[in-house]
Amino acid sequence: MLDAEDVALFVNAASTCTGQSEFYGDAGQQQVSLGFLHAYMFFNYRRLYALCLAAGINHFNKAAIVHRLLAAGAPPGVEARREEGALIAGVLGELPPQRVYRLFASLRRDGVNNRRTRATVKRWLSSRRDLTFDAVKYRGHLRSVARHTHQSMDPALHDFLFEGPDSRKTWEDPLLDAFRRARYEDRALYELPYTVAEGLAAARGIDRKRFLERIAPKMTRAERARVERQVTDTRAKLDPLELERLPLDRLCVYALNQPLSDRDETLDAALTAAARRAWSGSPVALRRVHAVLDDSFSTRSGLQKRNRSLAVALGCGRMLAVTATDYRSFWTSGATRDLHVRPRGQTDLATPLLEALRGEPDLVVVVSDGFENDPPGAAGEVLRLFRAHIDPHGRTRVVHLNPVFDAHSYMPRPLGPGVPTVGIREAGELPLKLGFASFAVGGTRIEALQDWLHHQARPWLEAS
Amino acid sequence: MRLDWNDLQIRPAQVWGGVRLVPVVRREPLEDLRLAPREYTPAQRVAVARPTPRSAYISYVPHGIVARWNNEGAAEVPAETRLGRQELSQDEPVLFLKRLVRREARDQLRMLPLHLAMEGFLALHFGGPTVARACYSKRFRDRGLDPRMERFVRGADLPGLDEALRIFEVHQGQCGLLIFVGDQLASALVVAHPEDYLTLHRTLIADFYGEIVHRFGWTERRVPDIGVQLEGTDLDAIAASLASERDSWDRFTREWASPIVDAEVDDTLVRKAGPYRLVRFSTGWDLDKVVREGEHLGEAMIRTDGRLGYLRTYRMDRGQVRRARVLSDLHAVDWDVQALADAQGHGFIGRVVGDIQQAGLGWILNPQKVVEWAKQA
Repeated sequence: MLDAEDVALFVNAASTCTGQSEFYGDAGQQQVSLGFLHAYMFFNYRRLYALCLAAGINHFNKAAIVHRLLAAGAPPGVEARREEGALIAGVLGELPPQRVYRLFASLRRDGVNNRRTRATVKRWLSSRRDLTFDAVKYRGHLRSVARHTHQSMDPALHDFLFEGPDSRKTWEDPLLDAFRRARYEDRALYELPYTVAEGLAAARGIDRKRFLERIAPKMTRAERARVERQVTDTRAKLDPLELERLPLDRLCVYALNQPLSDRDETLDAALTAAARRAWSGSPVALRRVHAVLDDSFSTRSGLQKRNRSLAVALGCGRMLAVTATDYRSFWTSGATRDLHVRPRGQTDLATPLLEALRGEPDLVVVVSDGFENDPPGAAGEVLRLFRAHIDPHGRTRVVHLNPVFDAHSYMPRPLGPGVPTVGIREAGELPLKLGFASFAVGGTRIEALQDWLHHQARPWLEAS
Repeated sequence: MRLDWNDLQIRPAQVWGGVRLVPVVRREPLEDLRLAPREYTPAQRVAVARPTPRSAYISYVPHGIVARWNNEGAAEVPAETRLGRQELSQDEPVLFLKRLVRREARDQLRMLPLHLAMEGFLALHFGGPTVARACYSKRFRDRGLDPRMERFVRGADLPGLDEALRIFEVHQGQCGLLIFVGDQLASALVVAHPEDYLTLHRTLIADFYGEIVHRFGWTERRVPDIGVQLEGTDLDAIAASLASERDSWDRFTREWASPIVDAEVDDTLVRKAGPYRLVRFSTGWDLDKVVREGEHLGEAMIRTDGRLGYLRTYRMDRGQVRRARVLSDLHAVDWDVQALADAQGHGFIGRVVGDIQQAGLGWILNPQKVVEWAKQA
């Protein structure tokens, strides 16, 4: 007898926890707590564990699952082997390359080098569009994984990686040659990817500001969004078109890092566009939706992920605003303009929740870390009374989305019994998470959850 | 004097481990008093001040508080003054501060938080007996209590306080904080303006606390979060029930912190500061209350209309209360040991001597006399 709650708990944890420090907990606790959950899931429900890759969990945990699956070797049975293989290939295709390279490095560190691992690495490397670029940008990683899993390489790349950039007088490929020249020529530095050039520039003592301005064309959009505040030159700034192309979550973090005076209409429009793009393709239709959004001091999050919780709240609010036909939001601080929120003040969820429950909405979404302190436990009480006396038939659906993993209870902190609490790492996952919410309260059958996971994983399973 | 908390509201506590932090919110800020911390360099944590020309006060002083007031209208944030710069520009390993409370401008004072209260406590009957009785030691008769010492604990050494202060969510309009450690009132801070509270919040970790608070912290590592129970069958009733829960929490906490909140205290005027009076106070020297309610020392700036502009308190240990008690009892009977024994109703000098020795003040007695008294008994 499998328990759906175990799996739901794991999905929630794996959606939020990244092993980084949170506002209320340090990194060590998070890692220990999450490590236990992975081991528990893997040994008890291996198939579901693999299917969880499609449940909207975060990159860190996707990589952790793939690591554990590869380390354990292929499962018995052709069908199971094919399904797991398809899931692994599917997820590696979607992860950003730096994540995959780090995963490969961790496989090497743990001495995992079975046949399936070698085949997986080979397949992923062959799917890379430009391995030469990887050979420069992820030079150490690529060299290490190629050596570890005995991959054969193109002769030029082989020489570049294993004999060194100085092993040939010149390289045919301009990027490889730029890397060789950059070690003694300042100009060649600016032909390299930003992360590679950054280290070389620092070693050479090039003024940071000048460097950033000149390297700007070689930066990715996300990199430019990150360093934009360090430069004054307008060439390095993101223009409105580029802003719109940033993913919703990155844009939210970017917006919250701007001073209030810079949060203008352009940013507003870009957020709406990004939210619309993130929602597109989802079959869920929403009518009257009220959102309770937490902007208390704790949404500042830990040092390693500044403003992450607040960004999720902002992003979710925007997503709901563009899709629901009738939408209202209630911030805990009483803020009215979502673009101007700042992580300040206490967490009083009960007052905005009481407002949100008025007017018979179809769906009430609460985005909060669940650490309620003004007064503690009031939101849970409000919802209990609401269910008991005002809406016993469940006409209004209430979903609590929590961006923070609480290491002590092995899950995102709930508001109270009867309210589904769903872990969420990125606002872009909102449609998926709203679908998942029905499994987060107790009493669902494991088969239903398994079917849902299978449905989510279908694109990957069909692709292979 | 009565500490009047009428214009202050007490909000639900935030709990972390054994520390319970209770925010205090002002209905409307007092605009005519502004405070700012003055950070001394980490290398000069020990400071010497001269309360009177003939005495020196030496202590751990991580920072001072600068207060600026205005007789009519809103006060400005404390300004940098020549005297202030002089204080900060010292590069000796020990910081030399002139007075514990120093006037830096016509409308500006520099204080050392809690040290004003502590200095008042240390100076209690510092001069020794007013009548040269033979029952006291020569040193006590000649030099009084010099050197008078007390020990305390830094906030950073209290278990869990640093983390609790870090994750504390400051309320909108918050002007103060009650600190409970192991569910015992440890300290209170009240300021006039919410913006000043924000800057002073992080200095709480460097301030000092009673050793008894340290013990409470280690015995109670985890205190329960007090949740609410609401009732009502429609949304308005639930909202009303929530409001009444807030009220009852406010009343409950006032009871809990009764030694400081709306309490009668013995105060001494230190100086006047515009519309405020700077006072130091103590709640008394009752040995039975030390552990349960607690006895507190404090300093405050009281407005002419009775409102609190600034308040900072320190919870005393049993030993400290005992010393204060013995000294003030002796003083009350003109330092006559036999008279004190009679006043206590038992007439045994031995008991009084025992009290004095237990308080850690045995050295003030003449040892020969103590032997004689012991033979008599």
